[in-house]
Amino acid sequence: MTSEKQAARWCSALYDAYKAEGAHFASVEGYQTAMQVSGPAKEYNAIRSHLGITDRSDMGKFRLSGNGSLELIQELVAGNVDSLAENALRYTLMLDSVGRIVADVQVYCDFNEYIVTCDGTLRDAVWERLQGHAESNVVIDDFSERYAAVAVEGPYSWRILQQLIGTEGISLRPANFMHSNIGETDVMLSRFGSTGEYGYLFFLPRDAAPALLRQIREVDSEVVLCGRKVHDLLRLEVRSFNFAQDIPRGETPLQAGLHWMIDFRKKSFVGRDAVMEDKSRGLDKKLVALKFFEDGEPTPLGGVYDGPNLVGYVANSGYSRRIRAGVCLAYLNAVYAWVGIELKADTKAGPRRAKTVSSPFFATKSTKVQIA
Amino acid sequence: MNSRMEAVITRRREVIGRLKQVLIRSLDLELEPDEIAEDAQLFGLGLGLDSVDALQLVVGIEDEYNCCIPSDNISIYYSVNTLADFLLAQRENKGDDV
Repeated sequence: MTSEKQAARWCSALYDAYKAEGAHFASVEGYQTAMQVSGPAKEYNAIRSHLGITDRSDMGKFRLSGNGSLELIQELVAGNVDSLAENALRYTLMLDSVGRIVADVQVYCDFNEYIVTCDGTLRDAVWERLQGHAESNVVIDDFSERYAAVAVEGPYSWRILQQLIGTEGISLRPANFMHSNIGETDVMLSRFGSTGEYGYLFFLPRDAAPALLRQIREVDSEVVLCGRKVHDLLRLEVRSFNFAQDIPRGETPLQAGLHWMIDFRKKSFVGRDAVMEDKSRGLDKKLVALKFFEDGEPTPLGGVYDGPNLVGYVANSGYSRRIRAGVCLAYLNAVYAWVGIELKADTKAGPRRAKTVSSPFFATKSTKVQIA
Repeated sequence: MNSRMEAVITRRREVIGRLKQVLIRSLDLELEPDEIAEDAQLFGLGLGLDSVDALQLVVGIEDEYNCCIPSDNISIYYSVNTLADFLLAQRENKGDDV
């Protein structure tokens, strides 16, 4: 796969559009990714209040076919794929044998085949797990570089579907997907996002991605092209799992509050024994949201204190544009891991007062906008 | 840990424990309380509850706490923690036993 990557012009499927808007690019696992386009405020506001488009073609995309596909994926993920209905997807975890998180993945049940997708930074890890456990009769097709993934997110993102796909598109339920056509292009449309707003992913042949963007812009000229960077804050604000930020010291899924991605009744999956042991032993620390009420942006891995006592450390942090306050997710000793208490946490300006709060930090606009 | 903080945690722990039991009982969930994270989304992704579950959950909580939960404020129903926020705020406002 590495040689294929090197041979391919492995860059954003919307490279020309991004370039025309002056995007800043960076290499993420060998993929030329647009990190920022029109500025953090404009991109943030687009997704929080209207509509933003982000190229997610870096995603790992694998198709599993042949006898044994279900058994393979069922063994490799902590969620239950066996109970997954046709055209539904499961957002779950791949664990290693000692229960550490290898990747968060989406598993799509697609007419006797399974499609596994993940963030581009986890593509190699997921590929290795699939290859390492596959029996000879399972065919694994890595179509990551042949297909683009274009995310359409925001409280009015569904209007795009209404125009491009029709009523079938807007009636798509969360964590479901469908196949359709836009003109002569076959697309797979998934209702899945991580910003807390209405979110959809178009999967389509890579060469067709620029035309999709043009068609979206014909429907809505105010669409804003977004980079990867703004998504860290969008996810933090609604506590969507962020592999790169939320588990800085290899914390367990239960410490990170990811119970819902695990089927505790499932008899067998890689890492199950470690998860069950973690559960029966009881957690020594838990991930909790903190909101600052003094100025200062929390420091990643900075300390959290009750008076002079160190009671935890910051994992993921940022400054919320919506609530105009520093926010973070921090691992706190279990006795402190409850909402409603006041602590101090390290910021670039020194320790500042913060309170443990429920997440998400606010209700997104999409919770108030009805899909018409 | 000072006594005020201890009191806040004790109240929160009691409400969370009771809420999880109501959730499991009302919806007949095949889960144990320690298999539900307090901040996990109840609807959509997360526990994957739907609108029928929402009605049952509201009835279950209202029966348990002898209270009325507004059905038009979606942010209350996001997670066990947000439900607990609502119930604890009610208690502060009315002096009810939660």
